[in-house]
Amino acid sequence: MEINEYIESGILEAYVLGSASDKETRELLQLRTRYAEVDDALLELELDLERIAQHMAITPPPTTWLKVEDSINEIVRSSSNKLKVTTPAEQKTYNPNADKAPSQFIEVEGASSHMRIHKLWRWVFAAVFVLGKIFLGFAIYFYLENRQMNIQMKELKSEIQHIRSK
Amino acid sequence: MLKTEQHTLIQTKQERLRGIYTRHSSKLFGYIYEVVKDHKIAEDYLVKIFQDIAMQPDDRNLEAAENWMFLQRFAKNRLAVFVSSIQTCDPIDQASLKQFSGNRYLEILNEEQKRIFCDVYYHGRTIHEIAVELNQSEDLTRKILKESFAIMRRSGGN
Repeated sequence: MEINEYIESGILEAYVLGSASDKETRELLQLRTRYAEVDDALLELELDLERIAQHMAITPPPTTWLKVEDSINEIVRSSSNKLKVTTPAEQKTYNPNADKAPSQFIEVEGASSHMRIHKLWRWVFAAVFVLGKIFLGFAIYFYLENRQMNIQMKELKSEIQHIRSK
Repeated sequence: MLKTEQHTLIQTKQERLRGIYTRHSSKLFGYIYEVVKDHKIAEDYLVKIFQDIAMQPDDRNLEAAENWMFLQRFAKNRLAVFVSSIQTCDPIDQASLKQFSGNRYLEILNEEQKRIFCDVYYHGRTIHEIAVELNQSEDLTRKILKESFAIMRRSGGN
């Protein structure tokens, strides 16, 4: 088969779209190294495929990358906690405290100074804040009430003393 | 020391992944959305795909993911379960026609071209499978696929 005929057969399109058979893929990859025309056509098709995808592109929500980052960090954290590392020196020498030595585990600590907690806690914090405000309101109310009563008591006492002195 | 090295490695990997995300996420999201037709499900798949790339033990996948063709195939494999549960690309199936309505690229193709392109691009079916189903030769099926690709390419240039 002529190389131009091969390029025109549609095998290249089938390959870039991922529907070529294993045999076709092997043959194409061999021809790609032998013929510059095949390599050029393939590169052109790969760019076309990307261009088509670019025209159908939709911007994902702005928080998606954070979700990706969070999920990766979560997996890294959980796998790091399970990771047990021994140094070569420890492997070669007898350590009588090997079974109970917690230093065998590398302490994994995030570089960030921020703490991640469950979202449920925001409601708890909100409730604590609201309750705090309510208690503060009561405290101020009873303080003012108490002060008022003390003033009234003083007035009553002075009235009684005044009546007695008469 | 070990902790610092590990942290640096993770950070470098994440920065590379961020670069891939910046370059390809819109295309990938568009592709996934075209298959699943739901923004929430598409976003979940997008997160899962990048998570899977990051979790590969070596950096080969990360290198390959910089190439759109690889990334799109990776996504197609991850979507295989979803794709097998949705409608076919058969134009007789009205639901499948609706599925791709609004996609200006697919709308410029005739029914036969649309079906073959959809089967290959979104459903990941082989030329052999499609040819058998349509009761036509593989050569003809490939030619139709080539025509569809050429039409879409020309349309993109306009």
